[in-house]
Amino acid sequence: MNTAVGSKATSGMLLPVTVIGLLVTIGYALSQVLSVGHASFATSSDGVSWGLPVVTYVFLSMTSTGLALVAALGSVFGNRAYYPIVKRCTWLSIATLVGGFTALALELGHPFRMLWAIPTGMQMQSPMFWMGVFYLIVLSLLALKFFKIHSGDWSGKLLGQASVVAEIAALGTLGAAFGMMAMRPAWYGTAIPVSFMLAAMAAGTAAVGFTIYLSHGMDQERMPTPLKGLMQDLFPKIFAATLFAYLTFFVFHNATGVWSNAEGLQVFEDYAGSAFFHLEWIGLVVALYLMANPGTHRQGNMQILAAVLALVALFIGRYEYIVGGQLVPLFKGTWVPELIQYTPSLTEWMVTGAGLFLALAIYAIGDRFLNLGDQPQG
Amino acid sequence: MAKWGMVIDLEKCTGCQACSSACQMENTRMPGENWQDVLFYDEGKDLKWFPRPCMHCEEPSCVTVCPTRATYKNDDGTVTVDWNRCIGCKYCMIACPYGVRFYMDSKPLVEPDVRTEFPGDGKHTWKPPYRQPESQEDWTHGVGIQPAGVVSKCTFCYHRISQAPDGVADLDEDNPATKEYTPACVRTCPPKARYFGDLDNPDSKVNQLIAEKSGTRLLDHLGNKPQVYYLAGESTSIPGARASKRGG
Repeated sequence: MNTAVGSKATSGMLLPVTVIGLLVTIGYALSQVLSVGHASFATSSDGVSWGLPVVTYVFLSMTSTGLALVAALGSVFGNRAYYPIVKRCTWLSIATLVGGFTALALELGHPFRMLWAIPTGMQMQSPMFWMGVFYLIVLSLLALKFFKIHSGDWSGKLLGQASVVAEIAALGTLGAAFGMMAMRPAWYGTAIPVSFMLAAMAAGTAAVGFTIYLSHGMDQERMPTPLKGLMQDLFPKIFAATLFAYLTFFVFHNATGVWSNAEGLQVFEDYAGSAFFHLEWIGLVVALYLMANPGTHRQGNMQILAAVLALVALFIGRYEYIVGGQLVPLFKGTWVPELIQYTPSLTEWMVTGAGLFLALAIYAIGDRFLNLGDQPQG
Repeated sequence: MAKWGMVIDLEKCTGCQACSSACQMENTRMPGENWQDVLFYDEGKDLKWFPRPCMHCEEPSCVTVCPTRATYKNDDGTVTVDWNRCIGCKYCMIACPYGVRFYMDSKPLVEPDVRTEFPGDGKHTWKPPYRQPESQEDWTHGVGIQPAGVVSKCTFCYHRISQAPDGVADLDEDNPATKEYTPACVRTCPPKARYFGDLDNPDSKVNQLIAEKSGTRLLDHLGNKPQVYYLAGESTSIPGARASKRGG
């Protein structure tokens, strides 16, 4: 017999709220994309080609991988303390990936053409080709894994191991899709895929922490004992560790960028002077402090705050990396400013909203109907 | 099969932008979306200019990033876009170091939006009074009025050069036998600063110029190996990587 989650109070509200949010955001975004096209985006041929919707896709995909890897701590690496969140992480990983794909689909010129043009093209030199292949495998394995767990079958270590390999391949390729671009100096770097992994682990931990509280009325006391034990012991430890690892990369990545005189890296100076940069590092540092400090790391409110701060900071981080890497103009002549200006349009924000609300709505469906707190017996 | 390439003599180029206008008319480009652009630079106290078509690279990064093979290299060395396969992911625009690609659905670069002024008929995204004959349209090589949701670029006037007789070394507007097959920008260049020919033919004018006048490729360190060569001479220079300068 499985152990069901306790309170449904918050998740009861979560589903209608997220569905309404999804309908509003996707309705607006679709109406604009279908009537005006991508002219309703702030992206342009002489400016930023990949804007906020791509940032949203990368953030959600990255979070999805992080969630799957957190789940793997229990299901693959055998740490039973993580069992209370394995099913939830797996479902949320599917939800965030579907949300990310949706944001990407709204950004593409011909999303349905992709379904036949990529398989028939077989352009194996393209990172984007492999990204598609690996994410398709990831989604299939996640769905299979969830189905098995939901059926009460917690065996299948091989499936879990294959899933972990596919997740790392997919996210690594996503990072490489940027990191391989030598013509974009602010993106280029062999360590970029690894940095995506570090950010993914932090984002996945934050995302599952936040959603666990969402499902339990934002109150640790309403959690079942094994889950409460996890949240009071291992959760803050793994959260602090992942934040520390990512912060280390963050500090040296930005310090290197600001220090360098190389053409194309001017954007680091601009970014270091922006309010978003300060919001990002303060968010990460405060979240790390809250999770590392023995006086706060077990407190529910502090964990919620740390999760929210980390997710916002990591989203800003993806934005600054992806958009920032395009702000130094290529061959465009004297009349182009030193750095391109880009402010996302309302339609782009709605695409972001649609991706996030869809992920949360799918999560809420699982939370209400699929007993995401299940654990194996024995 | 020829391997087409272009030579641009910067000492002859006057920056008149006739090439840009000819390209606009020949390829029905939207205002501001210049497949063939002329960039202007401040260098010292002088204003300098630099004509910039697609480089039709030997190792094109736009081809290798394209997940659908919509961007591909033809046997004649040109790089073109198959509009029937393009999904509008814009990865090629990201990967092109020269900034020569254009996405159809972006906000207009020049107001008013000509797509609104000259609305399309379903197949075509817009229908201007001046336009390329529909008989020349070839979406598999990115020739014609650009459809929605795809990326476009200079084709070296593929609809012209692909009809050239086999074995010709150069496509020259002064030669009646090759005039009609010469790219519009080459044909219209008033000071005759542009040359177009077979890079694999040792007797071609382009090869002769590259050898005698030290033909230089743009951003050669990136490894894309452009098939467009510039002759800078003593009075001109190839501009730096970017127009922007650190610290303003």
